Amino acid sequence: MALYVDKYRPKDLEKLDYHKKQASWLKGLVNGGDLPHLLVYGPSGAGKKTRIMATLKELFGSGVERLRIEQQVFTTQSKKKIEIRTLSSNYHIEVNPSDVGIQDRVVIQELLKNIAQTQNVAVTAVQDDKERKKAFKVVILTEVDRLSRDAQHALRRTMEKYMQSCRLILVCNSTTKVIPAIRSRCLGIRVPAPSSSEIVGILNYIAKKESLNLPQELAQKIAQSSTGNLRKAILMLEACRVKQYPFSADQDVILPDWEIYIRDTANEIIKEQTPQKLFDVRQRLYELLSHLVPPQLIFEELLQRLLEKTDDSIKGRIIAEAALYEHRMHLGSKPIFHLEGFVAKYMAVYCEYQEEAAAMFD
Amino acid sequence: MANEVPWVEKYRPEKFTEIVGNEETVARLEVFSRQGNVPNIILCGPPGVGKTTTILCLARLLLGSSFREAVLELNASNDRGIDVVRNKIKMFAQTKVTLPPGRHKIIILDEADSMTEGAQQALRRTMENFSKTTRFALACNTSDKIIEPIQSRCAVIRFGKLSDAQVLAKIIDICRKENVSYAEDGLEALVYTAQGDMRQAIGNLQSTHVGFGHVNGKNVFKVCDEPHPLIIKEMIEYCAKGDIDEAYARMQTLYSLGYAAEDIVSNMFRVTKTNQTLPEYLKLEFIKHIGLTHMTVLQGLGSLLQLTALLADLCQTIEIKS
Amino acid sequence: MAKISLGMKRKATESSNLERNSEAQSWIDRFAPQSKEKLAVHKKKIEEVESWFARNLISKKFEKGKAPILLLVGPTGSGKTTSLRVVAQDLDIHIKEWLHPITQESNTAQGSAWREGGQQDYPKESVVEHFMDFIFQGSRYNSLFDNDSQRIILLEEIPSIFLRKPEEFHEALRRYQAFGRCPLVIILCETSSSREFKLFPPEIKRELQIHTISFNPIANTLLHKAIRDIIIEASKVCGKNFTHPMDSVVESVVQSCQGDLRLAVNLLEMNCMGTAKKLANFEKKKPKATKKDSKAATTGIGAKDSSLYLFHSLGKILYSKREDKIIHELPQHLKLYERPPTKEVPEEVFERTCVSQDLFTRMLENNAVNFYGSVKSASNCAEFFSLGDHVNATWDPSGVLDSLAISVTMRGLMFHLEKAKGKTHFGTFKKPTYDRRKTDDLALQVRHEFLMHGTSTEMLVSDILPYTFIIRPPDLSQGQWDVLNQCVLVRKSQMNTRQIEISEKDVFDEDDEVRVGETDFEAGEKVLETVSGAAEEFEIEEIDFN
Repeated sequence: MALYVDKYRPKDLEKLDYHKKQASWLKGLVNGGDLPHLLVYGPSGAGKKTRIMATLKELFGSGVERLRIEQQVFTTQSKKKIEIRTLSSNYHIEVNPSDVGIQDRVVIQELLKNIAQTQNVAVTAVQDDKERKKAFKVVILTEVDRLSRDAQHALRRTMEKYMQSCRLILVCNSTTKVIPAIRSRCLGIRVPAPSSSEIVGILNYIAKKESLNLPQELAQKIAQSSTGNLRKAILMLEACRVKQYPFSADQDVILPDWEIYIRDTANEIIKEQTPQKLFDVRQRLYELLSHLVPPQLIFEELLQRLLEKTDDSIKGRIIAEAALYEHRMHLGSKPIFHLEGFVAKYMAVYCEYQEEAAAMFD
Repeated sequence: MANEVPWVEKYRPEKFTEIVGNEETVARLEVFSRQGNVPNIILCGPPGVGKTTTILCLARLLLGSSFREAVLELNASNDRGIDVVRNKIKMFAQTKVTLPPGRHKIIILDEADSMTEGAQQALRRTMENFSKTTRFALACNTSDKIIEPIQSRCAVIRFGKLSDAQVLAKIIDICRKENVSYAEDGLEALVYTAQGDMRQAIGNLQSTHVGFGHVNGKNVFKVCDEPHPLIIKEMIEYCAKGDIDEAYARMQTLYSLGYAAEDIVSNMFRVTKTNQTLPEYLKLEFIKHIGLTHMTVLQGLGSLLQLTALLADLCQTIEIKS
Repeated sequence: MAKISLGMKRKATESSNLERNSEAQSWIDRFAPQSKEKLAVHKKKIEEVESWFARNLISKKFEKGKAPILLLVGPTGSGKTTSLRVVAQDLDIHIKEWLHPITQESNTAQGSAWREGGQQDYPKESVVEHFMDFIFQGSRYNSLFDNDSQRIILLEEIPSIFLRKPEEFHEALRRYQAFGRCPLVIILCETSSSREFKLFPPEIKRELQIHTISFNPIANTLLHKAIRDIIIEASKVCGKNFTHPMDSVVESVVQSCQGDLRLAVNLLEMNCMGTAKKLANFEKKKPKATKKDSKAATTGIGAKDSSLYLFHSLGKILYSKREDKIIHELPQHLKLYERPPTKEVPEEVFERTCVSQDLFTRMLENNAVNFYGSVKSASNCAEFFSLGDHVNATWDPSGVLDSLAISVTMRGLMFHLEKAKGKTHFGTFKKPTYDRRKTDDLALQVRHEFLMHGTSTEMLVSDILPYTFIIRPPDLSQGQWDVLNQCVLVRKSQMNTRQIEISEKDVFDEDDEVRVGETDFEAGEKVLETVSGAAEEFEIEEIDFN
């Protein structure tokens, strides 16, 4: 799959387009000596993965780019078998432990143990001092903020134990859910979202390389709709090209299907507030959930769209209610209940407000 | 005294007529038993209401003298993994037992909802293949833990909790037979703590009798170790009036007696549920607050302060304007 | 009896012994359809099975190394095995079924007690070896009972080891395709687990060209027809022991089995067995039922035991009938919260259903929306669902929290449900259709196919997948296309059309409480018919697409 996102992803630290200071600092870190455990965090699409791969390339050479998919099987204490797929090269292995749900602790412990044990053989064989420093394997753990508390505590212990033979790079969107013990064992690398102008710059670069004529207004529009998510911006560019080329300045920016669906749902809610409409909205929410859109995302997007069309006087109340339902959704196990609760509450508050407004004019 | 058979077993009914409770359901099964062609059945219901007893009575009635050889009973304490289902059950289903015409061997699977899905799938084929010679009776607490293919091969029969009167009658009967000295409030306490579970009631009766001799309210609550419902009832009723001081006095008594916060809160729930004097709105709000507090308690915070906060929430309900 | 030659000799002897005792058979076996016309499955499905046979079996020697494999999936009781058997009988094809052997019981004393007469089953051979032996030899050699007729191998009971190690199963299938001499038919009953995905992932289906025929729950019209036929036959054969059921009984059986014909026949059997005299006695013996119960009870013995009971209980909560007068008073500032007491105690209603808290809550939630009178009551009720889920968030081994949560939800609902102004309640009850496990399966597929692009499902679903669908890069694999098609949202959801059906249905008079059992299901039946009809058509189109 050769999307622009993959084709134009910088592979070297020197070639990164923004946060250049951070890039050169990373380069220095790698060459200077040992690599500590890293905790790379930042919003989605800011470039965390890109920087990690570039760092690895700096460390190990271009061998890291040859990736293969492996299936690993672990056994829990209760003899249950857990399978997980990993993406690896000869120097590193990337895995998302929260894929397996509550057994993520087992995955972390067993995986790191396996890697550490296979490495020991390699270490003794190495003579050169400089080489020895690099005789460790790198384990990239993604979505560490979704790890259970058990898994994080296990991770902390494992990090210490196997420091010699493997280095961890933890990736997450926000460090709030990462326990302080882990945060203190890692070097934190914050990758902020690129600015609109930086995104426009990259879009122009890609357009030039692809021999496309990209009107600046369109580039600006794309950069704004992507809200700091570079991956999304580049995907949007490619989608726009597929939909209509040559580009026109007033071309529509293509939003992902679920965003459009949620926007339509919000419009439905504003249009009519009756139990029948609530029923329809619920069906739509189920559609979203069965198409794997995360409940968190649904909530945020829906709230945003609703607030755009809500009167200021009730905005505060709506946001307070939204926070309450979101909290419950997080703690509970059936997101649909809370989503629907929020929508129903919105309808009720909105109705009340409309009635009051009407009464005032009487 | 040491060799005494537990009364739960001693007084387990052996005939349909002796079974207490769920008369309609039991009568229905009796009709089947007289014809001989009993379908596969799933009996579901809360513990202690007579599921296993009824199946055994049914088996006795149908099979008469061949009862021992023609019935296989497996419950959750037996190994019931996939292999056991295939091997043991299949072998039993294949063995030849001389039976009156039209009768089948019976395999009883107690606590069937704890069987894994794989074991249930294996069971499904076995049920089909041996349907001519063997009938299955599964007992469980909730019917939705049984996979659909098995539910569709069986008749689902529901057992409900026994009424207080039924439990009381049986207890009095046993008291007479065993010469137990009792007081009215003791029987009331037994019925209250049993909550429709006959096994619990009889077990508590025997424990109280053996431990304390005389079965009165105080002794029963010592055995069951629950906060006395009267205290809780008073506490709730003061809350309904908004009288925090009186309610708190009672809470403090219970807390200092050493009862766990969890027990206190779950008993508050039980009492509120069945209370006849509270208006519906208050009941609703009370149960809501009790639920939230119970959750907090389970997360580890069961201090007196939390319980008092619950009382405060309850008392405020009557005062807060909507 | 159908011509099914089985791998186990034991069963043959037993069945011949008991043939005389056919009264011991259940109706499922006794009145099984013997011909295509009697099958309660949709004609098109049967034709699909037949055409597969025509393509792959009848007097055709298929290319070596390409033994055809057919997969039948569908919910329980939808007629998979029966259709296969009838079609095979029609075309004079022998079915050889593999039955899981009894493996040697290792150490338990109890195990040895059951080995009567020195029956030694299979020596240390593993189940997998036995399986492989069977399907290879079965395909090569005729049994003694066969003539020159064609044969197929049937696999319905999959060895459990294959569920743990699906790769071995795939390997076995590959070997079979390479060396087998006759078609292999596999029947898989789809419960809620992901067995189909594990055992037959899309890449295996493509590689081995496995044809899948998906059976639907049986439509109500076909159910009715099948039941009527069985009643006619039974009345001829069973003589005195048969009581003709009332129409209302038949109706309630059809409604409660939800497309599962086996369940319907079982329920029917329960309701019809026994002489009329015995039934009358039974009615007399019953304790004095209340007026509420008597109506439901007279509809037959089985009525209370079917899953209809669950719907009845939902109705009791959702209709929340109340007495006329207010008994407990509230102070002035809370006057608007006064209500007359309800006729039912919610906790008792729930306990009598004997289902888990989780299922009951989901069913309430699925159906409560028909009873929201206004947005305000909708909001209040939805709040209680949310609250109930919140309370239930902590793990409580003693189960008290479960009962608390459902109590909160039920009471909240009963309190806040109001009648819409001027309208009476309407509603047909449905089981919830959203299946968390299917979504988890889909997530698994997404991760498998798109692993190269990232390991975070959230990122894949929100960014990469939607745009990849629009961009359509030429080098996408088939598997990736499958996933994309399933993940991308269709603008106009199929769901919407169904909803309009329901709200236009008759709104009946809710004074007659027990009508939950009767009129409800008239409306329900019409909806179910249109729904299943629509669903069937939709299904068939999907398959033609392949």
